[in-house]
Amino acid sequence: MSDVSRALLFLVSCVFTQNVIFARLLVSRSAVESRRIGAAAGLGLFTAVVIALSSVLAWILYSWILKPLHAESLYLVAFVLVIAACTQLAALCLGKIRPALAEGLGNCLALVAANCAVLGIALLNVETGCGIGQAFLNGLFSGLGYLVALVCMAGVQERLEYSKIPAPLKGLPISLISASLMALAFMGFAGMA
Amino acid sequence: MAEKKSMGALLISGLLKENPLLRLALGLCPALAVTTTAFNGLGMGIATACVLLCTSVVVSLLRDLLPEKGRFVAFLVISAAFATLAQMVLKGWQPALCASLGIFVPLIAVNCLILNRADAFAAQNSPAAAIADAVGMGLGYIVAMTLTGAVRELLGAGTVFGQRVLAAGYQPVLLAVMPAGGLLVVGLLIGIANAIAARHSGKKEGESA
Repeated sequence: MSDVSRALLFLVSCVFTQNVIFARLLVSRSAVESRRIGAAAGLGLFTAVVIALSSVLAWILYSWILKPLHAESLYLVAFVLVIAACTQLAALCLGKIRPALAEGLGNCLALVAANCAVLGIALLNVETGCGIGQAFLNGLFSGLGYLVALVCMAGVQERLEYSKIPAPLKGLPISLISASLMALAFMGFAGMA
Repeated sequence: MAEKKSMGALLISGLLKENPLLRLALGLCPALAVTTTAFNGLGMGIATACVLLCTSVVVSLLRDLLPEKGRFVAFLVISAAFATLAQMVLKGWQPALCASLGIFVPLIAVNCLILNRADAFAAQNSPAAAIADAVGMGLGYIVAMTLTGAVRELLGAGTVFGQRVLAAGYQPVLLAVMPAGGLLVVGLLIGIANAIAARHSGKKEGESA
């Protein structure tokens, strides 16, 4: 199989069959509770950039610095710091490029540093012991998968607003249940990659 | 408000009224992902509770030294240090459990339960109060995680803690142990907790009126 077709299969796997939200369950509240598709796309894109950036940087840090120094046990603290730095950097850039969007997302941006999807992808790269190329693609494609999942969930939320929901299920429970149905739908992609 | 609560009240409220998973919806990610069996849920709950306790104590001791701006990063580094420790202990003590929890053990570092309690409680309160809060929240989280794991294991395999509960002819609902089932079960459990809380508060209002 050529490298290009392998990369394409990996893309399908990261976005659909092994989606970071619906299959790997690296879910935070903000991922299932965005109310508007526009805001969800903004936050999803921002998180995707942070995932891609920190995935590569964490891999470089682990393989080229921590491993030669035999300091692998420090990897978690190091990753957390790298992710916090990446988030700050991305937030600064967003503030310069799209000040209105950065203003609107406000507090959500800083919380991306504690998003389990970001750290999860960085940890998965170490777990599988992959090369830098795959770490880069994994970050890029999983970020894309995160964006897709966020936009899908925001679409569901927009419809939920006009439906009659039993009182105890209002808010987070119904979001989780609709995410569960979405996860079932995504299981239909199984076998594609 | 929180400072006026006694130690005992803090313990109880974490367990029931402010149960971290079922009432405050904190620590969602591991609750969805690793609770395929009751044992996994219990193990993850205990590991998270230990990291929560240690992080809360350290944050509360350092509360006057932490700057306002970089506070969040400091919380992350402290909890990452204790999560590393928890991972090492778990690997040495329960290697099979550690392997089945996978990346979710190091992910304790960014568990929003721990970060929320550090930010909302430990950073403003004395170490003793922080311990009471962390123990209450930790126990509540352990109970909720074990409950979620037990429900999913019961539906998905007919067993609880590996003991057969339903008759041998039971056709397991495979969905319950799959990712979609995790989202469904946790969503329904939070819904049930909401319903119970609404009834409870309704009764209280009725009594006072």
